[in-house]
Amino acid sequence: MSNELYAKMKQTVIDGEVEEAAALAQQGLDAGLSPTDILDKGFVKGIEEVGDLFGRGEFFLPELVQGAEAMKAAVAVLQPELDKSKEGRKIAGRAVAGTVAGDIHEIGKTIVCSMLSAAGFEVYDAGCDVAVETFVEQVKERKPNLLLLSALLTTTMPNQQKTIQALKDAGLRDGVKVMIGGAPTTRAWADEIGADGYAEDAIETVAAAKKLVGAA
Amino acid sequence: MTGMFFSVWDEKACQRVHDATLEVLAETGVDVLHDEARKLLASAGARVEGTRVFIDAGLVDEALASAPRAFTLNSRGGDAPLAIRDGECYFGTGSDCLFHRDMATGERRRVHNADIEGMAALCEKLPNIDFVMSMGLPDDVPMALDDVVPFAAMLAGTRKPFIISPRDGTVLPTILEMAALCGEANSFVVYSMPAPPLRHDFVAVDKLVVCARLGIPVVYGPAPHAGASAPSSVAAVTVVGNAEVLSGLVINQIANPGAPFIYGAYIYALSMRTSSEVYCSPEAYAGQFAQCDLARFYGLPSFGYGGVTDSKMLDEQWSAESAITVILGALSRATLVHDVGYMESGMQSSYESICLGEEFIGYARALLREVRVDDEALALDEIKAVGPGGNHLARPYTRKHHREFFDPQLLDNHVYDRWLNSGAQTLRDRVHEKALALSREPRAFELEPSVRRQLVEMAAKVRPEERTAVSGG
Repeated sequence: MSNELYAKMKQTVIDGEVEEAAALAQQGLDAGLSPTDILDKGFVKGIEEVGDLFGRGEFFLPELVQGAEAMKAAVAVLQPELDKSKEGRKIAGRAVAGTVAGDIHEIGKTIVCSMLSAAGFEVYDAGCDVAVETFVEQVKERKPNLLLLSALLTTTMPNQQKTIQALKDAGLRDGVKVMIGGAPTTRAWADEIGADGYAEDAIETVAAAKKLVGAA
Repeated sequence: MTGMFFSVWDEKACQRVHDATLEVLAETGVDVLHDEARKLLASAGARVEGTRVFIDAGLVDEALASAPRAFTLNSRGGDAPLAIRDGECYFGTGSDCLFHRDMATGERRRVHNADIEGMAALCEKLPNIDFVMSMGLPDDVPMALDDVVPFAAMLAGTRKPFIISPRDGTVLPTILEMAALCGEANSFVVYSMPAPPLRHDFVAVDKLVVCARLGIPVVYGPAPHAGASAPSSVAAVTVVGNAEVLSGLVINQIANPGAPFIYGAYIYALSMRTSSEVYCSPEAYAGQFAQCDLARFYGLPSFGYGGVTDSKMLDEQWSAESAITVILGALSRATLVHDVGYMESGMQSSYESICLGEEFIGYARALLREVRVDDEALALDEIKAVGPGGNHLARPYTRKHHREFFDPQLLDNHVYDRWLNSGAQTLRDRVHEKALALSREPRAFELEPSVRRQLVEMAAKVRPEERTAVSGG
């Protein structure tokens, strides 16, 4: 019986059914299933399948993003129970991502957040036009292993450098890996500003992120 | 080139899209992240709530009425000016490639300021290139000057008109002075773009306002992506883009009614498989056709693209896409078709890709020229005079008209033995050879050393407060 429920949970992620996923997560809790089992046997199976289908070229970005959204909705319902339990949730890493100050281009960063989510990361999307100080606060508060900074304008790229410097000044630099990206950025720029990682597109970002946090 | 073009939307379809756009502007509104522009909009009667601005049909109608239907863009060498209006179709290169294919080594490397001057000088010698863009964002120039220093390089390379994408509006008075120093202030257009969906960031709006006040023509080009910053539908993408262009036009015309404005009529695609930007998607060109129909519906000059490739190298995909997209750009009959020579989806430039693009522009011009049906074209007297079994090679009529037919420089049509004995070259060989030869010839013109010096001095004065902050990009 619980197997049937797990199968339905998996399917909501494959179908990108956000509300249904949240509802089934609650249903599972109400039926006395452990939040870890609900995740591992239900929803995570779904996101793994989504990843496989994407890798095979049968699923594309929209299905990936929607699968991640369904997953997020389920996790949100389960989080209070997960926090109570000793195990918590197995995650590949914790990431904070945002577009730097003065820059309101978000699509690339949003796609990266979804793909990292789908790959098992816990992701906080800080949005766009994020001040240097806000990134520092987020790193202090959330203690992510990964900070991702996006810039789409040559005029805002320097804020990637400023953020890394601010982390150093706050004594936080060593506790987090910083990746940068965005159309006008290059690997040379990443090296110049002391970033730990760089990728040219969302797919490569996830691969690089996994390596950086040792989850590859 | 005023010949034939390809239309996908008639007046009824354009009206429908226009009405849909008005609904978005009035009900959903756009974000305008520029305090002064919001004040201007509010004074003009728009409803402003925080950064959200709701624009009604009346404001749009006023802007469309005041925007000029036609204006000129001059060269700095006395050549015939470009007539910027619907019906004309001019071609040019693109801006801000990060990488460059080194002509000597074939290596893909970062682009340098010298490449920008060199590519401009190449364009000066290519008759089918009408305007020039930077084709590079140089790595050997301080970041704070990476618009104005390349501008000086372009001025040194060519006298043709420019389209530039400056970092912000503050540098524009300097750019006007630099262009005037080289013979003509009214020889450039500024490119600005908002952030789809429906958001105008500070710098984008700043350029609209400053250009309006200085009388500099501005092209406002949104380029939303289907499925990402707009719905997965070509028509919906044009509605989103149209809402951004029209609200940009409203801001530009409120700042200075009658300011010259060009409608950005192009979309790109985001590959849902690879997450990369795609310049050669068929839907992008279908969208460009539709948007050019819209621009024509409004009576505005338009800005599209063509002569591009998503390929990383000078290979078969490059030549196929370069050819197709030049023809498609020409078929859209956008007033200005830019990005000729773009490789790697706009990330890489090369001399060779500009040369091949230019060849296809000649092809496209010949293709789309009006096929006249008049006495001279019908040549009945000739047909009768030569009669059955004769030939026309010796006729004065042939001598008079045969050069009107396209004569390719790079596309080879020799018989096999002749081709073999001439070196059995590929298209890529011939393109490379031509690019190399043109770049080694003496320049078509040289700026006076004193002018060059003055340009460097003027550029060096720009943005002093930023220059200490970071090193070259």
